[in-house]
Amino acid sequence: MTPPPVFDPVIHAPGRLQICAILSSVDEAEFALIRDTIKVSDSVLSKHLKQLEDAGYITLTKTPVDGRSRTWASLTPAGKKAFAAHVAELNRLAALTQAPVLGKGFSG
Amino acid sequence: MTEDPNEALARIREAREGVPGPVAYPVAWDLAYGAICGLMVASQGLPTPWAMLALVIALAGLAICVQWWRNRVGWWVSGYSPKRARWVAIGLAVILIALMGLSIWGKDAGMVWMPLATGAAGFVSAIIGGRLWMHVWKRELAGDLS
Repeated sequence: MTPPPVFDPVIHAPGRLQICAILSSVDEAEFALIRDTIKVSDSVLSKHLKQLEDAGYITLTKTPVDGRSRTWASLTPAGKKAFAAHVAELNRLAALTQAPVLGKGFSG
Repeated sequence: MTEDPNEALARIREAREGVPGPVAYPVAWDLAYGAICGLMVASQGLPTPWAMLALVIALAGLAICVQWWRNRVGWWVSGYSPKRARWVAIGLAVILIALMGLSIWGKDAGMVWMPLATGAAGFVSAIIGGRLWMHVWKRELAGDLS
């Protein structure tokens, strides 16, 4: 079921929008994959992830691989709901921009 | 709002399509996954101690495969998570369960060759199902954002 459209300023920033898009496609994604997909630096990505985590939209977990720590991110149920509502709002706004202009051609 | 909604939607599509895009996983993955599923199916037709051992080996192999995939590609998605592709996973599960039932029936009927036949069918089904799932999932990611 499509959630009611709600614009979310936390999600709407381009970087965070793309992070949520990636995380909505998978169960979890690793820091390096997100960074390379949206083409940002480590520090910028860390900042975006922190903001999404503070909003309760993602959870971050660290797993050791070959003696190094890797960060994995996944959307929380609240994050999934907020992202779906935001996408619904974008679709609604996009549909408005494509709607024919009523009254065009009338001279009154 | 500072960005055109169409541009924002395009960004979302671009990011979603970029996740599995470069993944060209090796045939070894198919073979390993097929072998694990085949072993799970065949194990149901083996005598009890061997059935347990084969099942434990299959589950351990599955855990190793999942870990290998996560470390290699940097993402993980359960077969049952995507809305449309999950139906491929459900279909494959139904086939594998039916084959397991056939293995058990063959054991009860004294058909010693049955585990070989059902295991081979499970191996092939898992490979075809796995590739089909990936195809459907990629199409799903590139589809409508509704």
